[in-house]
Amino acid sequence: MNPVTSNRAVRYLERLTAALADAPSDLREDVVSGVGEELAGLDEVSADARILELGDPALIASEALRGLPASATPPSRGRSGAYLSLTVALLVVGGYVLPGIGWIAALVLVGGSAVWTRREKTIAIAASVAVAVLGLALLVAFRGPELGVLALVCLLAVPFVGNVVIGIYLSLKWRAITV
Amino acid sequence: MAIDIGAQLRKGIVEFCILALLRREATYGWKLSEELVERGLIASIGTLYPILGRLRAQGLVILSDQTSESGRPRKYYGLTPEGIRQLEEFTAQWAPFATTVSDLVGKGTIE
Repeated sequence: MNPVTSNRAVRYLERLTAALADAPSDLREDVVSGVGEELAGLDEVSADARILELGDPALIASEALRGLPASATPPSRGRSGAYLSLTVALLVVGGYVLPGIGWIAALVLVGGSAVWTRREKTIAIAASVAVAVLGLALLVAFRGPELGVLALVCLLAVPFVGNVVIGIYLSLKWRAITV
Repeated sequence: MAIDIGAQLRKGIVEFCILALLRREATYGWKLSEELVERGLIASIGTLYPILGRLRAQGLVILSDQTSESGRPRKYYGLTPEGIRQLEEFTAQWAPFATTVSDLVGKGTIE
């Protein structure tokens, strides 16, 4: 998709995203990306005209929420600040405190939250698995009596740094929805 | 409480109107929304996406990335074979149903 370059359009999409905070993440993604397509690549004047046609983002959000079946699961799971803190803490240090289990628990929490979209969850989980594999690969590559310390540092530091970055990414996405 | 008769009528019908529009051609959300709003079938683009989500979950509609006539990349909604089958089934039942309702209530006179 072309980037949304107009400042008004960017603010409009932010307001729409915030207004859809209570929507399931997949629906939120569908609405925001669908509206984003309309605003992508427009200059300020064209974006203003299209925003006028689209109408109040709060109204779009309320219509979208009203269209959900009554039986839809309330998307409150994973919405609290404590959930975010626990997820990021387990992601960054869980694997060291509770080897293996802590990290897996973090990935389960990422996957189970209703706040992040399917795409954001996929990116976070795939990136976390990738840095873990990279750490293990470096451990294997540097094994031996002379490089043993370096290998151990790689195994510990690479996933740590990678998961800090992923934690920051998840926090930013979480704040965009809930704050 | 007053009943919104229009909303009641649209329930269950809008889905098939969307399938009918998609039978003409695969299209993107905004274009679909414009036509449905213009015809008074939905209130806004916000109404459209939960319906499209349900249709996708039921396997009646499929999403694909395509380039629009203006050259912009967009997500296009199209019908699946099951969507076509469901629409044909609805079409077969709709005409006799509409005739029956018109016979009963469509005379415009109350005795």
